[in-house]
Amino acid sequence: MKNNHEERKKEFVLSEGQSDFVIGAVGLVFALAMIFLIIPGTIADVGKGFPGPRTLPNFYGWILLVLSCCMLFQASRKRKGKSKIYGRAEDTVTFDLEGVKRIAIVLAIIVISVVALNFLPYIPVTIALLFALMYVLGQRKILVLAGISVIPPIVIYFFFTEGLRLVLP
Amino acid sequence: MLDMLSMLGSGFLAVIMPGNFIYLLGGVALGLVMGAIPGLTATMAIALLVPLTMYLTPTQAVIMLLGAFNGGTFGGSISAILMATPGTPAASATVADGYNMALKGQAGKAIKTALIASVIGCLTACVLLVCIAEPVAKYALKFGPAEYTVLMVFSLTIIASASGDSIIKGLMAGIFGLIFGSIGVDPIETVPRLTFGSLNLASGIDVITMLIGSLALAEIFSQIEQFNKSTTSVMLPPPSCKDDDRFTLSDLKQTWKTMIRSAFIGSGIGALPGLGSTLAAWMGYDMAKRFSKHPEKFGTGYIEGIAGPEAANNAVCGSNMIPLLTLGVPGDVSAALIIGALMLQGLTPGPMIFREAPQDVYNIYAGVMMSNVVMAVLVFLTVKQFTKISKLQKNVVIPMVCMFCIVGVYALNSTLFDVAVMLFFAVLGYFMSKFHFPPACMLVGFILSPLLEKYFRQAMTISRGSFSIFFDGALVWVIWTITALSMFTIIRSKYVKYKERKKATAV
Repeated sequence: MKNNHEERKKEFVLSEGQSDFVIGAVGLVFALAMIFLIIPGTIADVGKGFPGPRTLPNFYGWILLVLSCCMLFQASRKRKGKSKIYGRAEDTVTFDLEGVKRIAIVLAIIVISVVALNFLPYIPVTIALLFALMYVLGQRKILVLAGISVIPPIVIYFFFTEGLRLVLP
Repeated sequence: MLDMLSMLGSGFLAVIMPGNFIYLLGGVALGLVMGAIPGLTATMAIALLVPLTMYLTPTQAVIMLLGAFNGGTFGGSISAILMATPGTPAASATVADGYNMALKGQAGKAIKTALIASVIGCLTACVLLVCIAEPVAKYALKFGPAEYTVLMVFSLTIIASASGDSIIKGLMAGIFGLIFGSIGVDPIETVPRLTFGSLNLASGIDVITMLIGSLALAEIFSQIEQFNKSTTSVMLPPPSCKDDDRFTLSDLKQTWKTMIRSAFIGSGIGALPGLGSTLAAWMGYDMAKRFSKHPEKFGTGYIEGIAGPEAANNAVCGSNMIPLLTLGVPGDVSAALIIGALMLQGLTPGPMIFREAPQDVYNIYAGVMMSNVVMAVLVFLTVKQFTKISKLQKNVVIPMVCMFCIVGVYALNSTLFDVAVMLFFAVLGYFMSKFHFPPACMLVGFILSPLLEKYFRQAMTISRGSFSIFFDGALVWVIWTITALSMFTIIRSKYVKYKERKKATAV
């Protein structure tokens, strides 16, 4: 029982109705932002006939608005329980909080290494990236950590720069 | 007919000449390796090879790229089977059954099933290509922007079919794809759109960046979420008997109908512009499941669940040459790269190529067919080497994949901005998969967006702003009718599913 409780505490679960509500709300906000802020702010009005540069993006924005409203309507139906066919397990959204934390760490490591590539060469940055990622994911064998984080970046570097004549940082 | 066969024979002779064959072999081998490594796609293999084609003859260039495309499309299924990580998006439908077979000790059988299905799929598509490309090209000379616009609308209807249980989610994903596809400089007025002042976005978002982010890296994030530190090793069990490692006659008897059906589905999808092998694979899987005697076994390591998507996705390699050669329209991103390579060679894909360089066209046909033979031999010889990948630990593989994703995206344009865009799509793709959004719909929208806009605006310019151009002429009406039929079929099947679910819940 205690274990079950602990398992549950580690997860963040949205029911199908809640997840549809989130999708609808995000879509609605994005659609409104597209129509009233992003398109007027980022696409110049060339003032010439139809269709112009704004035509299709505006059209997409309005369709998204309609679809988001449909999604919100669907979500409200599900939350009120009017429809009997919902509530299938595969349609709920579950976040494993430990897993999400791991993703955030991995993402942070990748972002740091991408930023570092602006200032440092490819090989040392990638060695550090591989070492850090493997360590975060639980690899503790020093030979594996050293071998995998050093050899592949060097091989890849020479394959791209010498074999394919592509420039790496 | 005799002329056609004679030119095809000459094409085969040209392809097996050592000077040409070596490029075919190299293309297939590179495609296989890159396809098998998650994050590196067939498209990326082609993209890396395109600059090299400048130093080759048209035949050498195109057969090398087609070999890489075919090998890469199949190669993706190797990691899908051994690691549950699709090497290419097209192999995503193979994961469920392929990996479950591998967990039962049937990795060898799964890979060989995928190989045979891929070869059958591609060869079927090649036969169709040879038979119908030239007549279509003659007909296509009559197409204008209005016809192309309606054709794009028809291609967009596929979003509804790929949208899983919720058409609304599918359409929303498609709209997001269309919006992302319209980022960049306006094709007619040349004003920046949705770029937020960034020069890096002026040429739009690179489709490969988006693909790697929203499919490969997003998948890696999902794997990291479910990653258990205590089970760091992905050890697949060895085969329990000889048949677990072989594709037997009884397997062929069980799967040949699925393979042929999926080959035709893949050929049909590949022949339609903008859809591509990922969608073909999912449709092949879906149809295999629908027509199977044991649909309940799909997803548990069932051989038909591999034969269906694999025959369909490799059929695209052959059939996407149909719109490419006949209409000059790329069937997918890889085809767009092949168009670029042909143009580097001074050849303009489209109906005129059949008059200007007919032998090159037949060399391409022969090259696609031969790439299957080369791929089959290579894989049968090296299958044991590929299975060694299964011994790699997940906490080693995942960082390696991240590294390949970063270096692959960086290598496209030598800019770290693309890597940042990839990370954005990775996070978006992760949340999309969490909320059951079908990524294929976003990709379809993204690929079709610039084509739809180009033809729509050209047509509107010709008609001086009147929509009547889209309803003028028999050809347009034929495409509208096909579109309506397609929509009707899709909505009907969704409605039937909805009713079935309702009935099941009531019981």
